[in-house]
Amino acid sequence: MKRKLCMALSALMMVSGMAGFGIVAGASDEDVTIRYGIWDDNQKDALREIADKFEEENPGIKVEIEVTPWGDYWTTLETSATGGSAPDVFWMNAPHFAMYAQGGMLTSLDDAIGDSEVASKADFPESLVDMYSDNGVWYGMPKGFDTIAVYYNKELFDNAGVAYPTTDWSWDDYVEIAKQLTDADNGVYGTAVQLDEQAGWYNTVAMFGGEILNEDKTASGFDDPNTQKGIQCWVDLIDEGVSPNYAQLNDTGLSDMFRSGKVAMMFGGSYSLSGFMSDEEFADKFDCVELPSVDGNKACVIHGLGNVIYSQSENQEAAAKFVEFLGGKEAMTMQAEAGIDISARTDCQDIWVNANTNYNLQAFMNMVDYSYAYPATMNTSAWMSPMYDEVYAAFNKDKTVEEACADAVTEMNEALAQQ
Amino acid sequence: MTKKKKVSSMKRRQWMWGYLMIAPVVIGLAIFYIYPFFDTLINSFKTIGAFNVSKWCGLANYKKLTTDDSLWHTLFNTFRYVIFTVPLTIILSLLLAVLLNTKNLKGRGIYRVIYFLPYVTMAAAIAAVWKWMFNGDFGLINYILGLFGIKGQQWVTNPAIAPYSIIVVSIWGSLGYNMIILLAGIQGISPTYYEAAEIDGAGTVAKFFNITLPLVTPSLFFILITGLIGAFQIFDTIFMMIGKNTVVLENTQSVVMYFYRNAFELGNKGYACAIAMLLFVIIMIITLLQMMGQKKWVNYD
Repeated sequence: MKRKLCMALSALMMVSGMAGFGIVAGASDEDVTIRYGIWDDNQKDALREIADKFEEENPGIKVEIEVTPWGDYWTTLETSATGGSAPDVFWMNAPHFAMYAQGGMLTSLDDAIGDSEVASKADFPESLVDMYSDNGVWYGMPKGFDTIAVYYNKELFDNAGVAYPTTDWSWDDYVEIAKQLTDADNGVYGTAVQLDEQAGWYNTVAMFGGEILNEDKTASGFDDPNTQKGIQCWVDLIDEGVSPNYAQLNDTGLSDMFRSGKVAMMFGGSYSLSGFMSDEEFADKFDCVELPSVDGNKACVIHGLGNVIYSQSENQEAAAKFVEFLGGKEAMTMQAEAGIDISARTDCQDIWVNANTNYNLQAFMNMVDYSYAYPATMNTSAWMSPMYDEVYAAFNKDKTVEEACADAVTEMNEALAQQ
Repeated sequence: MTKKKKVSSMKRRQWMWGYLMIAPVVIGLAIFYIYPFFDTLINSFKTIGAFNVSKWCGLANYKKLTTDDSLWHTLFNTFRYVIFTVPLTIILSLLLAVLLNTKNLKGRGIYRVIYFLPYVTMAAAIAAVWKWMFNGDFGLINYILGLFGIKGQQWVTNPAIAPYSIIVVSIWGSLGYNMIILLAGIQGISPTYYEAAEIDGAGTVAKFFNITLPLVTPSLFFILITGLIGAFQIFDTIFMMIGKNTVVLENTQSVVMYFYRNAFELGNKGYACAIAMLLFVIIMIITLLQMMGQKKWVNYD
């Protein structure tokens, strides 16, 4: 008896030790759970409401939202996609789209949704549909788009007695105003170097007439003197004393500095709005204005997320229904009203602006006319990594801007040649 | 004849129990350690792109190892980290263990818990809190230094200082674990040695160097080997305190971080596997050297 008990126990131990992953789900034919992978915690609550609405209208389908922080999102996604366990629906961005589409990881929306009445290609701006189409096949339901503008702290402007910036201001005005707002004794800076490329140098490079990549995206644009001006302008801010230096910005993030009133103006994306709005102490202290112009030239980079379906998901139908719903007028309206994203649907773009009239959100919409698409290739991170290293070396004064750009050209071209 | 059969069947049953008992661990090791090791070895001879699409490329990755400047700088960073962290940790934890072993120490249990706490805290939590304490403008450390009129440094964003800040955090984190092991080793020393020494009139320092130190060498050997292996493989602390794509990275990056960067950020998984193999060889050589050297300085009684 004792021996039989021992055998039973050890068998149980072995089985439980090894079979941690084999949970048999009591699957009923009707209740399907799909997983929705995102990276922005700020958007989770609003998306949960949208998912709840979807569940109401589609009994039998449950949506689970999984947030993976931005820093880990892509590495986790690639591993899980290779291993067959990526979420059924997930967020896609332009830099990674080609890789996933050409790697066969996405389900074609032409097949899955086709010409739906709820959401179809015709409902969206062509540029956004193109961003998420590969070789003529449509893979991504545009979710929204982001443009860049300047956020400024009204309180600091009032305290210094400086007038708020206006739409037609120039880069020189920007630097001048920053000088007036800098109060070194109290640790307040007029502005700050933006370390994030989408909100930072991708815009100034274009403003000064340069480019990140050449037109066919086969070579780096950093050998263009205008591109170098677009990097130099940031280094100049540090030299003029109106911005914290690179090490300080690396230590304490720019958004944190802005929210605690240490920086008066910052270049920021429309995606940062919900974070600033949800900060109760800060919500009524800021506003936004279009980016300044350089010799009358305004520019910004435009980018938008897409919702895609995992090709190896076992719930293709449910996933397709959810993606269709996300592209529909109802979900787009809810999203815009919550302020989390400028809805991509042509008939919903104004809702985001009108949902929060205490801020000049029209500034972001106006920048669309001056925008160019975020540069992306098959293996975007291979050339972006050296680009970051060189630009940051320039910001940190380890190299002059000329040296950094020259090195960037060599390294970026090397990476681009391998694609 | 019957006697022989009984013995062998009993032996076989014992063996079966033996295998049954070790089976879970061995199967786990095989799946999560042995198989990935050989997989990595094979992958180091291929170029692997997105979604594990691979192509055989022979020794190309290993050739690249010899010409990669970043790798040499990374090796330098890692060796520097090891040379500072391991000896300092061992010396300090030995000191702590001896202090904690003093006779009639009140609250020894509480001290043990306090010193052991960092070891059981999540690396992410440690990195987040220390990063804020080290913050150049608003951190606690610079604030306290400021009270004494000392100018605060940028502990984590100055490339010259950052490697040493990380060393401090690592030592702080592993003191507790090493101390517990050494404490157990010290408490295992028979008190008769100490009594005999006291009769001969030995002072505290003499007792330490002539009795405690030689007899605690087995524990020292253990934490030296595990400490060295762990130090060469450091990733969590540095990754979470320094992050990606910063200027400080070049001076602080460890080999495993460089592996991570190649595998996941640059998409060179084959080359990353070659880097992993290099680290394996380095650690293996050092461990073998230690094993050979143990006869000279470790006293097993």
